[in-house]
Amino acid sequence: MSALRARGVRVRYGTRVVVDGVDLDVHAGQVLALLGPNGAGKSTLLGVLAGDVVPEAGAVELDGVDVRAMRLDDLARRRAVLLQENRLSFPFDVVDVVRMGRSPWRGTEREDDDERVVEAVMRTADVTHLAERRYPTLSGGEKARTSFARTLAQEPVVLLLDEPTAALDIRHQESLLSEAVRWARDGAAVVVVLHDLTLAAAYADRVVLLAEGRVRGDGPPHDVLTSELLSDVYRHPIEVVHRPGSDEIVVLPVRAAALETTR
Amino acid sequence: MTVTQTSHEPVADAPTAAAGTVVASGGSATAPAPVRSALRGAAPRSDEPASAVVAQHAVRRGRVVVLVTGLSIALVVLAVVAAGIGQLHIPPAEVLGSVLRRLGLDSGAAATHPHTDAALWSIRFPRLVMALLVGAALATGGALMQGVFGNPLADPGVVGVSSGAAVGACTVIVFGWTFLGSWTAATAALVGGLLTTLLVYATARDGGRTQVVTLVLTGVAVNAVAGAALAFLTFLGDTQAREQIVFWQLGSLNGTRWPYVAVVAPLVLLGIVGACLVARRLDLLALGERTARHLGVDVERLRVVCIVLVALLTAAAVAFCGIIAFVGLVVPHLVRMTVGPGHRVLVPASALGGAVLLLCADLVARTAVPYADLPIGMLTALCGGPFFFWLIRRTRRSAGGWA
Repeated sequence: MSALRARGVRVRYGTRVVVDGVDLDVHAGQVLALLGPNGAGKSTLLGVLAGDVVPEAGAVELDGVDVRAMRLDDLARRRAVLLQENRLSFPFDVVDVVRMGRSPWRGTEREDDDERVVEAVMRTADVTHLAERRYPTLSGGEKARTSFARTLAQEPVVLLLDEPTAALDIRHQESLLSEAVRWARDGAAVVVVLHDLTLAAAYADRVVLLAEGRVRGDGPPHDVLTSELLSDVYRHPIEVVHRPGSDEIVVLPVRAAALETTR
Repeated sequence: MTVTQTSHEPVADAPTAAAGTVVASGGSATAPAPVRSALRGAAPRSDEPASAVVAQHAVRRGRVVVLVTGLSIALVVLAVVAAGIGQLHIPPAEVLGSVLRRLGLDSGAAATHPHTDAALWSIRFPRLVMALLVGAALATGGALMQGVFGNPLADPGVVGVSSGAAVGACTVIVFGWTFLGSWTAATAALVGGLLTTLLVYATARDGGRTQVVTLVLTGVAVNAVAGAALAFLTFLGDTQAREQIVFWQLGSLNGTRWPYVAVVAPLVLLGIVGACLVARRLDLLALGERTARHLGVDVERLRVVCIVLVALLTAAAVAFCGIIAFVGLVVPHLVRMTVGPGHRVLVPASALGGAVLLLCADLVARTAVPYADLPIGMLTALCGGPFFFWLIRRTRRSAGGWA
């Protein structure tokens, strides 16, 4: 069953077509990684999936209902979005920022869980010790983790993450993505935009490779992340190696020095 | 409160304690997974209890209680003392006595001077109430505007909304319009304020946030245009209208009568109630427009409501009392410094703080120079201006003051 279903999505900014006829099914229980070079349309597509960006053509359905037609509060109780940039206009405490993620549940029975959920997701994102810090005083990575906790606090069934690991150290990158996987295993549909292809290969059930607004590959990481396709899409020689002793794959750019010696 | 339930939860060795118990029974059929356990490789440190959340709550609530009680007491004491000070000195006990007698309780101290009741009820009380209302309106308007602009420097005065409302009210003075009775000036001020707020909003915002530079420059532009309009109106008016405009521009509560209060009070109350109702959504708006939308806030509607409320509050304050600057800037800022930026506390506490501040300012305006009534707008600008300087320096130094 696909939780999110995009059909024929096209987005145009001025004369430039950013997303061009994309069909995408995001299934419950899966982590889908959205990959592609800069300007491929990943964030825009995520915006369309979130219901922020109105596509020129096509539509996105969440469990069979057009996301643009859903009430905002209904939508907020089902899908959560983590954007690349998470700024805050006023110096709220970290715990208050996380608590904001609970606001869609206000006035429902689940409001009773607020404090418990907030504590649990803060522990999950490893920001419990920052609870009383003011958000603007945090480092970039700490801000990203706080925002991740806020997103989880929404308890969404659809989780959309735009480059959530960009500001994180290696430990927190790993833990954030394993958390996304666990969230999926519990029934959520997760879409995550990533630049680190090795990371995507390790954690995604499925990867979708975008280039110039079109889908160039869609399938399990092992099938899509091939040297030929990646080298073509990224316009840079890329090597895909299998990590010895495991079925993991590692994606590496071929560096100039290496190119020289093989020539 | 649910807070207490979580306060004793052990953290260190039972990271999964919450998992499984968190699934809500009452959610939708597609309700998501239980909230997860602690991260792999990110074991919670035992010296950092999860009850930090609870501690933060308690400290904050304590501060809120202290602030609100303090301000309330200050308000009442100041009101009683201020009512007694003036050319005819009336001891606080007699002020209370007079109020109690009006309420039908014949228990307070009797008046020792024959004019006491007349002085209190026809001159001092209306002025006092007006000071409270205008102060509350200005501070609430400032807090709202800062919330919707996502910028602690936004203020109806700085940005020029007050001037816009002033143009509206001055037009009424110059042309002697009376088509709406005592409501004419207030209505014209509202129209002027609304138009200016819309203009500023359309000019200064970009992607849900407002750069300080853009905001201040917009204020300069708006104030310039409004200043020109005011100058033109002053030029058009006869000598009496001119004099009225000049003094009115300086801001004063002098000559407040009950009918004016009756016009201002409902507007201010409406504005404050409205502001309290949008407070929670303003918190979410601090995350940015897109994220606020993701959390279920209809940002477009919230904006429109806030613009109308700001215009309403500013117009109410400006209509009879002229331009009283900086209250909307200073008060919310001080409140934020003591109890944090959460709008659910900020908005009502600012209203209270604004009332106290203007009560003080008006007392000084009336009594600082014997037999003279200083313009209150001049006083607030005199104190608010330096505060603004300090604010600029302080925020410039601190990380993440504004963007």
